[in-house]
Order: sequence, then structure tokens, then C-alpha cells
Amino acid sequence: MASPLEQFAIQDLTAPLFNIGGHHIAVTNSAIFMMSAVVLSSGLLLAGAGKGAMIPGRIQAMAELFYEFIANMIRDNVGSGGKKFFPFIFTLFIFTLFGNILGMLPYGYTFTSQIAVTFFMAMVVFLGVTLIGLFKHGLHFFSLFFPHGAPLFTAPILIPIELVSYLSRPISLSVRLFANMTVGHVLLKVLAGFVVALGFFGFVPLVVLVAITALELLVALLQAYIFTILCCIYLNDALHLH
Amino acid sequence: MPVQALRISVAAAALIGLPFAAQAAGMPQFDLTKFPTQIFWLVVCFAVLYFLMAKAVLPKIGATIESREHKIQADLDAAQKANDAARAAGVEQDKALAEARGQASGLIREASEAAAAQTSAKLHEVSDRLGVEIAAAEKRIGEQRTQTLAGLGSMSTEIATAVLGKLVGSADPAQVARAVDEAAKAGKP
Repeated sequence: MASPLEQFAIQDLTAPLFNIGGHHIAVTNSAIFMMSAVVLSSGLLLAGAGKGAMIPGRIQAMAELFYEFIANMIRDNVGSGGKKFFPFIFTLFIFTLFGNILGMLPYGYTFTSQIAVTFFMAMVVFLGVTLIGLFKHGLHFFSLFFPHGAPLFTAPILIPIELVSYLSRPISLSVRLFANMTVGHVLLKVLAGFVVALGFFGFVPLVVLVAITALELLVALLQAYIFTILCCIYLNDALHLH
Repeated sequence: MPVQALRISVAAAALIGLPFAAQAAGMPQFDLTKFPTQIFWLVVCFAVLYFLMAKAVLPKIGATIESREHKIQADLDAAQKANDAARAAGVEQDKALAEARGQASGLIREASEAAAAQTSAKLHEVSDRLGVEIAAAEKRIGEQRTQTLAGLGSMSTEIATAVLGKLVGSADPAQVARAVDEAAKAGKP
């Protein structure tokens, strides 16, 4: 039986197109699914935005649903000054969501199960948010590491704790998504292996497999939501300092 | 939820044993040589998607939603205005109705007063006329009575003269008339 981890391997599908810093860049299975996510999501949303009818059709209603979902998320979690980041947050959500969902297709590839992808996204958000906070508040930004109103003598304990928790944000953010996606797909693969191995009694894991697939679909939606809302919360911290 | 428990245990195992298991099992996610290509495609795809969302999709959906909200608000305002107008018209109508009712009752009162006045005037006239006629009739009766009474004196003188003439043979009418007058005067209470 093939290892359940094999599905995560990155494979070059073409010859290297060019070099960046000595690294060969080729079209990979992961890249194909990233492009698919971009094409599918933008196609769907462009179709939805298309006519701009007063009474929306199905696709337009869905596009507006996404729009209002993220708009409300930003309004509730970021508040004033969050509107500028709406396109970025929206893109982040759509990209993650489509990455997670496309991975659920048979023969699909889940690019969000790659720590390289999730960690890079988390790092961009983390660094961006930190820079925004520094630009907006200057040195006052560092008051983020000391809760307002705490007794001064607790500073030696609180500041390191807050600092570590702040610095671990990109790790927790990226590992949460990566681990959830990886584990889900490993689980599906292992159970699918049981279905074949058990022969006639394979229907038992098959039933479980169906249930787990539904669960993974939920996880795919939920993790995209969690990833996005955490980015909103970090942004809120930087903009308003608690 | 056994499914959830299974999932969590696999996740825990994967997370705890991640650094070791990754090397041991050769987790493809930790193959650092594959990082640059993934990051390259991530940046490209994300940038394309961001551009499409920020320039094409989001402004359009936003404008649609906004114009819809405007339209709904405008419709609601128009409905409110129409409602207010209807309410005002109702109040106006009630006022007009009350006015008309007041006017009508005034007219009725006036008419009934005029009718009453006319009736009493007619009654007065009739009673006046009747009074005049009654007075005339009384006067006539009085005249006839005095005439009759006057006639009665001369008649009794004639009768007395005739009776005396029969009894005595002759009678002086003037003397008889005097005697009758005296008798009549004496007879009067």
C-alpha cells in the first residue's frame, strides 16, 4: 500500500520554466490547483458580479453572499480602518476556501496542506500587520505587549509571554490550516486503504469514509473561515492596539 | 463523536511527532527544496486573484449592493410619503365631513326655526282676524239686543194701551208709555 503521505508530494509536471535564485521553477501539481482555484473562483465571482442585477440570480446571490460575509467579518472584527484591507482579506478567504474545497475532489491536490504555502501566507499577514501597526502607532505599538492596566511589577513576566504569543502567531496560524488539511487527507487515505483491504467488510469503513468526507468538507470551510478571521483579529490588534 | 476523536488523535499525533515523523516518514511538506516553487506559484496566483478581486469583482458587487440598498431605501421613503399623504387626506376628509355636518345641522335648525316662526305668525294672524270677527259679531249682537230691547218698550206700551183700551175704553198712549217705562225701570234690578 502506498504511503498516505504520498499524496502531498510536489511533482513537476513540466520541464523547469526558469530559475529564480538557483531554484528551478516548473509547473507543479500544486501550481495547477492554485491556478484552478484562481480561475474557478474569479470565473464564478466575475459571473456573479457581471450583470449587477437588482434582483440577483443564483450565482450573483452567491457572490454577494461572499462579499457581505467578508464585509461583515471586517466590520465586526476590524472596525474603522478595516475597509482598506477588504480586497486582501477577501482574496485570502476565497483563495484558502477554494484551495481547501478543490482538495476534496477525487484526484485533487490540496495546496493548503503545504506548510510552505500556509506559512508564507501567515508570514505575509504577520509582517504586514506588524508593519501597519508600527507605521500607524510608532513606538506606541509596543504597548501591545503589555496589557493596559496591569500592575507594573508584572511586566517582567507579562512582556515575554505577550511577546512569545505574538511571535508564535504566524506559526499557529499556518500550522492550524496545514495540519487540519493534512490530517483530514491522511485520514481519508488510510480509511480508503481499509475499504480495499477488508474486502467484503470494507463497507464498514466506507460508511465512515462518507461521513468523514462530509466532515472534511465542513473542516475545509471552517478552516478557511478561521484563517481569515484570525487575520482580521491580528489586523484589528495592529490598528487599534487591543 | 468517535469521528472527531479519531481526527483529533491523528492531528495530535501528527503535531507532536511532526519534526521527527516528518523526517522519518519523509513528509513531502517538509521537503525544503520544494518550497521556492510553491512560494513562487502562490505569489503569482494570489497576486492575479487579488488584482481580479480588487479591480473587477469587488467594486462591481459593492456598487450593486449599494444601488440596491439605495433603491430599497428610496422605495421605503416613497411608501412612507404616500402613507403620510393618505393619512393627511384622511384627516382633511374627517374635517370636511365634520364641517359639512355642522353646516347641515345649522341649516336644519334655521329651517325649523323659520317654520316655527311662520306657523306662529300665521296663528297670530288667524287669531287676530278671528278676534276682529268676534268683536264685530258681538257688536252686532249688542246692537240687535238694544234694538230688540228698545222695540220691547214700545211693544209693551202698545200692548198695554191695547189692553187698557179694551178694559177701560180709552187710554192715553203717552201716559201708558210713561207708566211702562217706570214699571220697566222698577222691574230692573
